[in-house]
Amino acid sequence: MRDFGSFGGGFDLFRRQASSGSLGQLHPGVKAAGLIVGVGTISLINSASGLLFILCCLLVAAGSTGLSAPRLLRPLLPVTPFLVLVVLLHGLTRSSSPGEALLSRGDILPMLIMSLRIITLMGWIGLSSAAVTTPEVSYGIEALFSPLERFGFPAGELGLIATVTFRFIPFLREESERLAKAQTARGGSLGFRSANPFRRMKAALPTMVPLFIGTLRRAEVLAESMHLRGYREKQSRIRLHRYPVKLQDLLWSAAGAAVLAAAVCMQYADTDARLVRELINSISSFRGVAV
Amino acid sequence: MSTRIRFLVITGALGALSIVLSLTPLGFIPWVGGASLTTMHIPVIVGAVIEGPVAGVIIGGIFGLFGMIRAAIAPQGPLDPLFVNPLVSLLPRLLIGPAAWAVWKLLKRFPVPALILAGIAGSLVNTVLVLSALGLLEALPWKLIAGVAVANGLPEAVAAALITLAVVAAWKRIDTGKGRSSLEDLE
Amino acid sequence: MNPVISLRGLEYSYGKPDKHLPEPPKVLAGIDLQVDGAELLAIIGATGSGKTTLLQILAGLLLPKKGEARILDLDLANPKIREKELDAHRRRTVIALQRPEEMLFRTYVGDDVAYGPANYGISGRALALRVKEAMEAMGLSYTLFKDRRTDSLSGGEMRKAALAGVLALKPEILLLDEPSAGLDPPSAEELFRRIQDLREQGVTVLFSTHDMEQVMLADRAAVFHEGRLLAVDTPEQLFFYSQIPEQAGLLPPEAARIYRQLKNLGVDMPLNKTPSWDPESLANSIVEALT
Repeated sequence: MRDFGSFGGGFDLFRRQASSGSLGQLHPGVKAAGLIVGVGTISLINSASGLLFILCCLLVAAGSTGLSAPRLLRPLLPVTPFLVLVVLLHGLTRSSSPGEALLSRGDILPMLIMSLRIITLMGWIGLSSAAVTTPEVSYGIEALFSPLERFGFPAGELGLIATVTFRFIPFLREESERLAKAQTARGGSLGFRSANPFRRMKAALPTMVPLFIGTLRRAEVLAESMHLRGYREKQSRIRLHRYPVKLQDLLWSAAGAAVLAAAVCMQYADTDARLVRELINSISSFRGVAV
Repeated sequence: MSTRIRFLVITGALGALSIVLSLTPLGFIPWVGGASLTTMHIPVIVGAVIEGPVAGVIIGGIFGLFGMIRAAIAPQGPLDPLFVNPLVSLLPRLLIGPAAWAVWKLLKRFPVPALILAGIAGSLVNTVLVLSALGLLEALPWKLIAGVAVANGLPEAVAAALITLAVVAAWKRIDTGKGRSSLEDLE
Repeated sequence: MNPVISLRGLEYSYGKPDKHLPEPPKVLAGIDLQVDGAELLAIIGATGSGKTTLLQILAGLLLPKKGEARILDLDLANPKIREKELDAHRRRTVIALQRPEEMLFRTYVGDDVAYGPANYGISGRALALRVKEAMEAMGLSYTLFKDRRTDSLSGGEMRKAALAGVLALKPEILLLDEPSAGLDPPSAEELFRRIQDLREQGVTVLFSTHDMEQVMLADRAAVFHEGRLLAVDTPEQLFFYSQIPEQAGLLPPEAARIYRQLKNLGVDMPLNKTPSWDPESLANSIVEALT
């Protein structure tokens, strides 16, 4: 990085300001739950057919709510070569020699599962985050954990933490840029090119320490001002938006649960093995016919 | 002032710091061979030492969650897609805070070594658990993992220790033992 | 005489052009400016007019997108510029950003001031002498302040310490972004006295400010408006004899406004007397004109 022209500007806050489509209008708690349950399930499923099924349902859902499938999978494009590499590495890890990895049929399936899992997770997470706005995240977290409140779990406070986090991000981006520029102006960038490894680490201090301290101080000031404005714990707060639970929330939840459940069933019904057997049968019968 | 609201705001702010560090060059200390030492786990460590293990868990959760979502939406490098899996990106990060806090609490009577070791502990937890997750998923061969853990993880732990010490010492006004500047006196 | 700074057609914009934004909005456009050695130049303009961006470009923190930017015989706009050249440049042209006290990171004042020169290899007694010179140029006693904790200083003292840190680099060109912002008037006045001392020593100083009274102390002032340079001239010419500051959304110093209004009302000041911004001198001129 020769200059600061591209310091931190390449990434937009990934939650859009206003989302559209039927998926976007769901109750934030449903969205939050959907994300968590979906990610959890997909990570643990070990069936290629199950994953493929989820992926297809995802694309259908995305298409039907106005988020085009290509758009959703666009982040995959630059990553595909890496994905291939990752999958190959996976195969390499499992078997003892490279040649064996590529040829052994037994390892194609795990590699397929792995890549499917990554793609499906990306799609599920991508869809979830595209359907949420920043304030909905805070509310979603709060709503999701609110049933636990009677056990003493502070759902509202978790939502507050999320709000504070979002609020601090733009401020911290500017602060970090400012500090990095100021210290570079005094020769700070030279430390990072030193041959001495210790010196390289110490070169990070002039920017890191004021950044942390500045953050903590701002946090204290904010806490103080909230306190003075009468913030009290355990008190229900006034909100701008109300999110009533609607029929579509129940429908989408049921649909989502059904898709995931189906995938799990596919795993236990050993659908993969069955499909592979079918495939082998049809290939050999085809060959038989040709011969 | 209520300590509860302070806890919440500091936790949220440090979570934001972790996110911002991932987005700017400050999160990466240039190291040998094109690799970098990452620093976005340090707010987790600092949060745990200053506000306790629960803060550490929450900040770690924010760090991990953001890493996961970012891997899904805007992956940067070859290994990034692997981080969409919460076992790799989220679960290990939840333990950074408690580990650092435990070390700090144990050695609190000697603040300087306590901070150094807390930084090392937190960073190593991050390195070891994330790499282990990658190993268990059979994404990477164990030999490679061990190599990365040593070549990258150890220096990263040292850097984390340095920064944790500097930050917390400055925040809590702990004297790191000099009492004066290192400049010589002039008449 | 060779100008130390020579800008021609300088342009800067944030962001990379892509198909959605073929022309990112220009923060600076068509800037032509020459600055002589040991000149005290004020940079004025409304917030967002490009002042800070200009200073950061001059400091070598941002590289120009188009045009020419020759500073001390190095063209920063040259796309083939090397890292080493930038490093050398930053040693000679140093910037102090807004609120420099926020970047203090060492525990003890002396160490923080020493950070800059230490980066460039100065150590031992020479380093101590540098620090002493810089601190005393800002009015901080070396012996009294060098071992003070940075967090024990008052706001004004912190700013002095931060600026001393910049002065310790002994730059040939000093860039100050709103150096007196947030300071009480006596401290601001003291600061400007020290800036003028620096000018006596041959340092070229550029500073941005919102305080038009400070501008009167400068040799010339450059008026910025929406990324364009409207004019560069002596403060007297700009405020007393032209409407350019108003075009840029700036309010001239009070003496200038009095002078202009009197002129409108028909009280013509003798042409051979330079109206002075100093209220007492202005009063004398008025009395002379009336009698």
